[in-house]
Amino acid sequence: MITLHELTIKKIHSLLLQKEISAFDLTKEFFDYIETKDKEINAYRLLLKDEALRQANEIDKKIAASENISFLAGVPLAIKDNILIRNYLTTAGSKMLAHYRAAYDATVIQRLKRAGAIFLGKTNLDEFAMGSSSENSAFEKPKNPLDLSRVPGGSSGGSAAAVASHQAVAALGSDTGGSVRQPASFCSLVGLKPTYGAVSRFGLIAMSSSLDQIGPIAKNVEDAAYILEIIAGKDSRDETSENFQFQARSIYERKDLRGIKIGLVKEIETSSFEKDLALSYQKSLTCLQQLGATIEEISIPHISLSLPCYYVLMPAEVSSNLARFDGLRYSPSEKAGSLKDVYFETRGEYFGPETKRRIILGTFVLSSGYYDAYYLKARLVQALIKKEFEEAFQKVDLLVWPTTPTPAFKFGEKTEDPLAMYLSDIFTVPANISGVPAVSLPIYGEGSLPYGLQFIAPHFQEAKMLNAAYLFEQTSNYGKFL
Amino acid sequence: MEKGNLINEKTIEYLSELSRIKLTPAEKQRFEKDLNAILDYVNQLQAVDTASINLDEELLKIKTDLEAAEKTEKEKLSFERDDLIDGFYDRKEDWLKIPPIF
Repeated sequence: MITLHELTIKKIHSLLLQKEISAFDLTKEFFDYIETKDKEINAYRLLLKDEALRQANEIDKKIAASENISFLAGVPLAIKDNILIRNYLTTAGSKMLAHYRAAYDATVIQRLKRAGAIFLGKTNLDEFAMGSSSENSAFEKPKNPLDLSRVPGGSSGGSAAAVASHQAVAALGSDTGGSVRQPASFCSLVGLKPTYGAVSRFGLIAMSSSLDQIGPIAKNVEDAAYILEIIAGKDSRDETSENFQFQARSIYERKDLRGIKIGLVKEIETSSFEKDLALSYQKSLTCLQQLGATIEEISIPHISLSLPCYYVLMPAEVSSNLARFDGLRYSPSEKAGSLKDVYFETRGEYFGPETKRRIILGTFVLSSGYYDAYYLKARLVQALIKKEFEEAFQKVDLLVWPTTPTPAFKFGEKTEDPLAMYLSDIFTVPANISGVPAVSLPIYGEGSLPYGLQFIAPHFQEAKMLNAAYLFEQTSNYGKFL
Repeated sequence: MEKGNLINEKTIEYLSELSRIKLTPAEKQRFEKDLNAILDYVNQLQAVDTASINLDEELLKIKTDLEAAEKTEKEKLSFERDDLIDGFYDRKEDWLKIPPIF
């Protein structure tokens, strides 16, 4: 009997190589567990049992033949249901795509398949990845395994819930405004948003193309790094992807943080933090100092405007990206009448309230007469914020601040007030607006619910960022809480 | 930017038309309130001095890799045409069949 709770990518790799378990048995064990456990968690939208067991068998054959296997071979992963896996339903949490079957693999899926990873299933999310609690899913709403009365965060809530309840070793999510880091923080996990351009989005159902990034949710920094190594890099099918190579072993390069300057952004006022967050944050800073880092205050004057910027740019792109869901091409519609009637009726019926709200808002900010005042102005402020980030990184190596202002909130707590829900992304959005990488790690105050600490680095400096995060994780030792 | 509510019932009607989304009367009311609150929040952007920013410069930083793009054109896609067409609402041979425009 394998203890699923203790499994990490590294552990699975060594168990497989030592032939203490087979990939097939391991995969089967996960499905047996999911069968009962997920009734209470609702992490998965779709299970891929037959295909997963077939994949696992292939890995076992390779091991038996003493072929070289990658670190991710035989590792059971959960995939957010807005990432395409060929031949399987991909709903993006929307009734609009309830019957849509993916015709091809996303590039990240292709790369993980090549590395031998096993896909256990597709996880629940906010419709089209729009939300911060997963409550906007048109289907099952995943729960927070740490407290079932609370949300797991969003939009990659199902992915985080699956990993935190040990129904997968790690998962893929997508992060447009914090959708990987915020659920990771709510579920006491590590969530990584790579630099914009580090990972191809080909095969990710687009929400806001200038901000979307795919990233891993894992139990520790090492596992997140192993996944990033496989999925990162240039892909000719995503013009924004860069020739970026990342090696997981780079996270062990430094043994301490001596000589590393960590910046605290003075515009993020710690005096406004709730008590337990202030406490956990202070403990984290002490830990970083013990590791040898120098901590200094710096300024990113317009950082607090990242969120208002985001709520102009993102809906504008949403309104354009979601125009393709016309009821004609991706899911058959039963609506009749003229072409316009079909559009009107299908989109009215099959989009959920938050999706409609953002499309309508996006249509407004792009409309003639308001374009300059909203969309263009937001682009200008975004450029200004990017510049200020660049200037900050001339003074310090890394930045840190919390991931969320509160721990996981209760179901229904913010559903009536969209602006209150949006404000829960206030600390995650700046990394998307400026395109820099960020990783969230669990931290704790006195309460039983985790917060998150983010490490933020200059573009494509994931190695330095994850090295520091790894050292912090080893010293703070919060992983034990899960 | 002008004070007061930017969005009224008529604007919502118009946006619903433009974005091809049918809204129920309850949704119209709700979105009118929500959009005004959100726009009120994002209006703080108006106060920022962005005179020093030149977006053209930003755009020039974006490089297009024409060689890679050409290579992609030539590469065979990994999907079967039928798999894509299977999702269609209605088809005539390999074409998407749509209802009349008028």
